[in-house]
Amino acid sequence: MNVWSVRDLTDHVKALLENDLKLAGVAVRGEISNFSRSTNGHCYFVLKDENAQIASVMFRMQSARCRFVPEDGMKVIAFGRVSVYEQRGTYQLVVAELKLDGLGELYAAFVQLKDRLAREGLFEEARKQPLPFLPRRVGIVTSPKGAALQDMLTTLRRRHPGVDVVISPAIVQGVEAPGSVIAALRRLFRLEVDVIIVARGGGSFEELNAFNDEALARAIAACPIPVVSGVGHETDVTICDMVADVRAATPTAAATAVVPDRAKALRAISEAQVRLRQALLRRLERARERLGALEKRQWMKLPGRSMERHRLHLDRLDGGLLAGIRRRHEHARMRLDNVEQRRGRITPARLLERMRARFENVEQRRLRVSPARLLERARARLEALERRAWRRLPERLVARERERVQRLREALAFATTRALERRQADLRHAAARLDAMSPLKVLGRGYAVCRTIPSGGVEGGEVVSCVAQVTVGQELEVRVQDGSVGVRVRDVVPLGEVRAATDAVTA
Amino acid sequence: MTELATEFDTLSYEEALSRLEDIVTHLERGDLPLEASMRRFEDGIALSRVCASRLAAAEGRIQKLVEGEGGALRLEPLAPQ
Repeated sequence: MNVWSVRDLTDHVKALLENDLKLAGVAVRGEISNFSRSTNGHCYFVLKDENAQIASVMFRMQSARCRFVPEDGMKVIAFGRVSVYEQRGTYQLVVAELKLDGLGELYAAFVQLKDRLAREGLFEEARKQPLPFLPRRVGIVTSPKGAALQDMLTTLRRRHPGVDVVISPAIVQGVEAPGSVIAALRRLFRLEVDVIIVARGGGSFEELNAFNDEALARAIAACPIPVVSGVGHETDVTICDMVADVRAATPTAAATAVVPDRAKALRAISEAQVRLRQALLRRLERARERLGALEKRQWMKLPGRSMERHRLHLDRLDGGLLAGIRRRHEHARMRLDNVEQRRGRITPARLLERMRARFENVEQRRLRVSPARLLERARARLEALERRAWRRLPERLVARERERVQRLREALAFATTRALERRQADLRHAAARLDAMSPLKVLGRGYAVCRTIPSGGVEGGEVVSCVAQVTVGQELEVRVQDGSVGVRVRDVVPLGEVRAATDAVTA
Repeated sequence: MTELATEFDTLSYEEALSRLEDIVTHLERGDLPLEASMRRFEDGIALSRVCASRLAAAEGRIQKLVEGEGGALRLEPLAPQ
């Protein structure tokens, strides 16, 4: 029997395994366990299923290419070769490439990166910058050839033609995509735009995967200008979407998010103007109503009432005159009343004049500081304000308001005229009554005023009211209604002495 | 008609709009004295004009950003597609 050395046996087994073409490049399905990574980057783990296991190693160079981080429990497909590790006397799988089995490698990588960045706080709401309401310049990172760009330009034009747009072209698919998009972003920083859209049209998970790249996500997170991400369709969510300041479901939605709808904004401004005008008109209306109410009240307190007082005064005078004349008459001697005597030099005409003057004086004084004057002033101010307002109001509103003011003015003027007319009428009546009682009218009824004639022929001698004032032979002036008569005293007969003389007088 | 105050011309669209909204609310409350109401109204109209003029800016340009030699940037008109 041949006796092998350990070395020889091992070599034989090694040659058997390593020269077997079937084992030269194998794909093995199993579950990872006991995974560890050495300091120099080599990965050591066990690949197992229910019944068996195999030690595995993935050297640094190969494990660096792995797009996910292998973990215990992961179901993988390992591509590699079988080899023998002589020193240990074990065989192992030297893994060249590791792929996730069933779940999808890309997707797992995506989930892992998402969790990691979330833990770092890159998706936090608080980090997200608000978009400017009305940007002057919008930057778009996208493929210059895709339909997405055209859709965005159409939307921007429609919503707000006034905005400047700068397109920073990039490759949006494949291995070069992340680097290209980052470079395109950086170019936009240098140009100074107000907001950036990063966009590409729809595609498969693999096609959109460039936007799950870690470096790109970090570049967007660090971007000082607000970024709107519009990648793929509604249901596609990439890491860029999560890290951007605003996520739009599609490129078109991104364009919508970035500028206001100009037509709608202009309508809102018109509405604001209408509301301003209506509020001002309401305010003026209220002021006008208050003024109107005041005017109504004040009119009742104006001269009308004090007119009462004056009228009473005049009535009293009337009564006095009448009583005096009646008294004289009862004595059966024609004599003017005391009032007339006392007022000697004051003629009835002058008395009337004085009364009239005094009445009008009072009237004027009242008007100078009257509530009417104050109301006039308030009204003038109100109208001045209204005129200011009207300059800003559309024509038909102005016309309507003018009409109203005109009507109010007319009402005011009417009330003024009426009051004035009333007062004038009252004055006329008072004057007429005074006139009726005037001594002049008494003269018209046949009574006469007898006066002495002063020496020198100057007018205005004494009124003769007693027989003692005259002597026989004296010349007197007798005033009748329409003139005077010069007479000479024939005889003087005191009352009661000569009945015949009295009878003659009263005949 | 005299031109209204241009003190609002330096405001951004957002600022002007925000102030306009404040004034409308205030004026609609109706509790201001008459002279103050008048002034607010005029300010409001001036602000609304500022907002409208910002929106009514002429048509914007659409351009492509291109990096040339040595990293120099320039803007080119976008070719019609």
